[in-house]
Amino acid sequence: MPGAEFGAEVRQHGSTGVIDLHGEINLGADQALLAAYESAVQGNPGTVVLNFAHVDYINSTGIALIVGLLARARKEHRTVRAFGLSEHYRQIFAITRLSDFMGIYPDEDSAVTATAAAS
Amino acid sequence: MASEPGNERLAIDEVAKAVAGLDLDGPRLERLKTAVGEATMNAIEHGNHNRPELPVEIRVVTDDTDLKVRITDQGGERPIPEVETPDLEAKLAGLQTPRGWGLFLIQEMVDDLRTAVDEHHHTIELVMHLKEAPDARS
Repeated sequence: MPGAEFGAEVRQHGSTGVIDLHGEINLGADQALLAAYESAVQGNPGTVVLNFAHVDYINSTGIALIVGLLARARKEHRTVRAFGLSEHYRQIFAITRLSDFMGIYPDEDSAVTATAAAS
Repeated sequence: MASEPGNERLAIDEVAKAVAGLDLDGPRLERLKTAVGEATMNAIEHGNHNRPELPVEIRVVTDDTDLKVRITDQGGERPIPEVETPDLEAKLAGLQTPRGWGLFLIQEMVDDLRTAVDEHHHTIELVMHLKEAPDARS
């Protein structure tokens, strides 16, 4: 049963790259998520912000994709922050400890402001 | 249901319908749905090797205190893996594959997790208490 197809759009908020995610983050999101990240870091920003507000579903493979993205960002000395997570997925990010390595914020402004303060 | 990738979403929807009349609040229902999705995905991929002709069977059973969702695949030869806590630091350092979250997530989402195998089948039972003790997790 197909779910909502994954998509990602990249935009700038000041000097921060923001990736607007939507649909389902599962195995099928792999290439689109990678392409979005590569687009977001073209200007070599110190921070990338992920917008989960329109994400319907994240499975364990999706968690793995996010881990892979975070690993790459850390290797490139970039910070990754996130906003728009539902309470359920905030809990999952806490359980998996992703939130120990990725700042979780309630909205875009706070994520970008925190980014600016930290950079 | 047929063992086709993506059918875990169908399993989630069907279980959610089946438990709609039970005393399961929103956050706990979300946890159950995640566990059902992961367990069904494991059954499709690892138990039935994505072979559509091999069914994944899902039964929802309730008694006075518990809701039990039993997910059975045809992979009886498959040993029951131990649930391990993933090492995120090692994954972020590239020392381990980023994958390997499924069983851990399942265990964290439900109140109890039981498994059983016979010669032909592998069953995972997801248990949610319907009447939680005061010190049970929320």
